[in-house]
Amino acid sequence: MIIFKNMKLNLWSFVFGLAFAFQLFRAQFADSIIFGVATFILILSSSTKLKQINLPRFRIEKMPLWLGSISLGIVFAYIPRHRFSLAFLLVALGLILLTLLWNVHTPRRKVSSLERKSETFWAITAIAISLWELSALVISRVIGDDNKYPTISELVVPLLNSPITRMQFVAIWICLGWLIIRHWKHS
Amino acid sequence: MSRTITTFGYLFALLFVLVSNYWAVKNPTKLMPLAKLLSQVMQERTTRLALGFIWWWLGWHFLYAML
Repeated sequence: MIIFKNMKLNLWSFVFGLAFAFQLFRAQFADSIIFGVATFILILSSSTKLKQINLPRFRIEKMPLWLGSISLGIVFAYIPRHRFSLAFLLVALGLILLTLLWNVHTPRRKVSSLERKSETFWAITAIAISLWELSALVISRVIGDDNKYPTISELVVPLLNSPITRMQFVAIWICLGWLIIRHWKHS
Repeated sequence: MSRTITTFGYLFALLFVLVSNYWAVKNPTKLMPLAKLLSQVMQERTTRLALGFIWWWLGWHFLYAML
């Protein structure tokens, strides 16, 4: 219980909490559970007590890293969408990622004005894109026609039925994942 | 027409991000490129986890989820 006394809310918990409420409102129950769990973990991660519970740091060599990503890419692209085996693999990958990213807490150094300005610029850009998609979603639901105002999912998902485009998507997705892990590893 | 405008909006957003990032790489004293900013903000565990969740959810949403 002492963990909960030391928790403090941060902006990410708020953003994920909003996403949870939004998915609940859309009656997307699987996504509601995912964002609900994510919100809970983010709140826990900001607990000052849990900051002291550090998992051992992983060190990954480049060669197994590349071989692993290529194999993973082929497996993900090969398994047809909506298969249970794919869900199992994704959940396993999520748990490994959670363990990796939890890692040793490093207190942030003083934030420079350039960093603050850059954070604001990229955050506003992300919010603007999200609002554009949200408007498309709301309008399409109001008029009852998804074709006229498509969301990103409605544009991308039909392309993913082809194994070739799925492979391209998986390659981009894995590259983005490495970008996240790489920067954390060297920071 | 409305479908074209909506789609153009997404393409414009993608182009805007790419051009802004390119400009930031060329002018690092005025705006931090995304990769550099990531390396700074990823030092916080909550941010690391949040970005990790977003990445994972994209895979889940597009590869597995029934839409």
